[in-house]
Amino acid sequence: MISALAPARINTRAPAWLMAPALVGGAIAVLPLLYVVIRAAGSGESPGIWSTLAERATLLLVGRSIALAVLVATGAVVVSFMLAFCTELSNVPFRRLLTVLAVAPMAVPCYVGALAYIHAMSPQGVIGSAAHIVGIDRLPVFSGFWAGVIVLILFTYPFAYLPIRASMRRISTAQIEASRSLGKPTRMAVWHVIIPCVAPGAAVGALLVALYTLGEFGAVSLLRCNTFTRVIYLRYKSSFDLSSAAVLALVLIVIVLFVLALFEWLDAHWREPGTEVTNRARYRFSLGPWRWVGAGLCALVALASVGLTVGVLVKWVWQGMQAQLDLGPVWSALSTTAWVSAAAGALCALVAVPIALVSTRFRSPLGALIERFTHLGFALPGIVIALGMVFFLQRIPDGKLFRIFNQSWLIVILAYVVLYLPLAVGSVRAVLMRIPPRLEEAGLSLGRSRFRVIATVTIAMARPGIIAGGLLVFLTAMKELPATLLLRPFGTETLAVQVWDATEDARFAQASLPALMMIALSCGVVAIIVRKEGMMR
Amino acid sequence: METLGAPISCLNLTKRFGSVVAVSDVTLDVGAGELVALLGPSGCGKTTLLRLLAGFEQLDDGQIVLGGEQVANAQRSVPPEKRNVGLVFQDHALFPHMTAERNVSYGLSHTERRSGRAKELLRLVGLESKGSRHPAQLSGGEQQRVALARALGPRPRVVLLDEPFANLDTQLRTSLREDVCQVLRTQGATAIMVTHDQEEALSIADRVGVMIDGKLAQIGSPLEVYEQPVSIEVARLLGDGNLIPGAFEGGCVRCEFGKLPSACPAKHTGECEVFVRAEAIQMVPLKNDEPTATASGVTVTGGVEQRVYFGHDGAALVRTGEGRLVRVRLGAGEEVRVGQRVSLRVSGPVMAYPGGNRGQSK
Repeated sequence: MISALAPARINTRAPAWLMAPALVGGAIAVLPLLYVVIRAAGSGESPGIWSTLAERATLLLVGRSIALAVLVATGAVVVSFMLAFCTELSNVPFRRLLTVLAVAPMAVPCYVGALAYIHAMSPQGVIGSAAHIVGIDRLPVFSGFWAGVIVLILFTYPFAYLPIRASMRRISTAQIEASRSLGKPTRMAVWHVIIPCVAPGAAVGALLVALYTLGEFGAVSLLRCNTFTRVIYLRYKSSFDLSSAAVLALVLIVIVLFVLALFEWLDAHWREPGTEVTNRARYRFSLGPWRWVGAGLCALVALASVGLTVGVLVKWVWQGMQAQLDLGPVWSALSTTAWVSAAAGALCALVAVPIALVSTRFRSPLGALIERFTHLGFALPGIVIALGMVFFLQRIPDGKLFRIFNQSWLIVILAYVVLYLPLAVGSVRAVLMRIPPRLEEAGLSLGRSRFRVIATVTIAMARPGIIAGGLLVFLTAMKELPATLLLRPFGTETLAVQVWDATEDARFAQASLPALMMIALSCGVVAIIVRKEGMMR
Repeated sequence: METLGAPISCLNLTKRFGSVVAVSDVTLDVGAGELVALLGPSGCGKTTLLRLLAGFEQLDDGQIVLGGEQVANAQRSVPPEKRNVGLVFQDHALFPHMTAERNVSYGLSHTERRSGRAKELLRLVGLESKGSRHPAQLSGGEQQRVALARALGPRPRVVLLDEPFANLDTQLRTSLREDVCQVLRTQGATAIMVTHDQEEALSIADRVGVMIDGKLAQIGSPLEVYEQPVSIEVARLLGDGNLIPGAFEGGCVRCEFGKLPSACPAKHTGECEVFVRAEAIQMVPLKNDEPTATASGVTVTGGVEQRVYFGHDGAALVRTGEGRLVRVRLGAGEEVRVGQRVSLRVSGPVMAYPGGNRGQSK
């Protein structure tokens, strides 16, 4: 039968008019990585690549960054497991509300969370003044490694919560009942059924959190937690010590690629046991009076992350309004943010289409390779991409081309494209996978050219995915900090940069309105992601 | 070079997927206005053959000539969009984002779009009032009609139908296939239809090709294929039957049912397997005390072991004196009990295939 026999792809090589733009997209995606490598390798003379590598400080940095990633990933998995168990497998009250609250921290950029915590722990802050009442005069300054661990766990755990929750939703009553019918007490089901079922999802979640942590720049910098991203930025900024910044970036790339390799290995070798979908109701453990404790714990996590942040920001906005702060810069930053991100979103959508087409519709190893290259943007830290762009700029000889890129938003937009292309490609690919190739074959058999068929059938049908991909990039790019910070034209600001600048100078009130705006925008991203996750089920 | 050949002419087509030979040395000519049904179990290569003709798969060997123009051989292949071959898919493959009328006009030229050919085609399939609907708003049968109208739009040299009625329910299937047949004939279209439904193949095709394991085992008129299957495999594919060991004896075969006239075109000798169709066996219930042997060796007695009821007819499994289980067709009114003793008698010529006594019955 045709459904079994027909290949999932058009059985030919991709035409040149599709391959060429896909190649350009792929080239943009590897451009920064390439220039970091070139620069690092070319730092042969003065301090030299090996001497930088052998520095005690570098080794410490590696240790600290990995330790941070491991601790945050572990913490995030523990928090997520608890939350997911409460919302998916127990009879805790208000489960629906608690589920929404559990993913809410995704809407808070980490550096905004860090900013809220820095203030809350200060003598004027909520926690600070509460401590004062208890009798502790002054809390230690909220900064350094452990501050970073706490903030990152609180604001990145949803990356682990979503896969863990998805795994838990697939556990059927039958599995737990089978465990009980074999004479095991109910609580043993946790060990025999739940943990084995959830482990692969938890591992994926942990790696996602670890990747995010390795790339996080804003929060670790504000909290003065010396990891790779911060040190790279400082070296870049302070002495324009670009060679050692490049070498450090290269080390970070190697670590990130290692995590990516782990990802691939996991994907290939460790699948969830027994994923057959049963429509039966899910098992819910009766926790008795403990169910209120469970709900309380979930609420506490939400309060400590989203609750505290929004509370602090609203308070400042209120104070700022009373002090009649000049809002002019905020509006101009908002409009800059909006158009730059919109340009990045549109460009990403445009570049994503040929890449997604080449990698899903045709039998083309090159297409598959390009598609994999785009994933680099997702995995590589923003600061590394930004640095790569800086090196790229330096290599362009002074001339017309240089003037186009230098001190222009164009280079920022390009960096956004590299960073967020995977979001758009993923979105377009997801739609393309659902379009049966038979539709294209039908178009071809009616005598229409491949170009025409792809334009009028494939792309026309994929439009919702293309738009969603562009929108996702738009909303995500609005929060981008490190690349914007390094590459923006002199004297201009986006919302994220404004939050950064104001926080560095402890002008919290000035940071609050743009921060609050960004949270509002991020709610859009979270809504799209959660809706997509819902569709896949 | 030929100027006017058969609309479809396939010569020694071979297609391999890795080590699997999907289509093996198939040679097939289809004349103008002819409807050929390709019948075979799933995985026999019939769909692959269609995809080779449409240009979606590349030949490993052989050549395809459409209307005198060579469109494919092992080296080169005219792309599907330049072959002028109409396709109707099992799942219709209508463009979901276009209305029925836009679907139909997709393959039309500019001038033909203006001339209202799309409406004319929709009228042809009886859907002139539903042109503005999207596929999702049409029933399965209506979708298939739109798919047919769309395929006929660019006046294709050949129409290929891939299990076009497989996704429809039984009642609709029968009426739709007659309508589709009618449309194809009024258009004078040359068509190949792939199916695994023998009734479908036998009832509407001018010729039936039977594909087994990638090979075109037999091709001929429905009557020929049904009455004189060239091999046991083909025989088994077409209708209920029993294989009974026997031996050739002159122009006849001898088996448990006695000496029966042979329908084989060629003369054979030696041992053979006799293929007796379930409907060729007449069954008469016996009173329990009646003597068993009534006539001289032509009638066999046995006990009914099982009976199956299909609605329009039925079947019974009868254990014969030699211990063989034989399948017998029951007419609409015929009724037997399990355990009843019956006499069986074969009428008419039967097919027989030379070879050892391999199996018993189907």
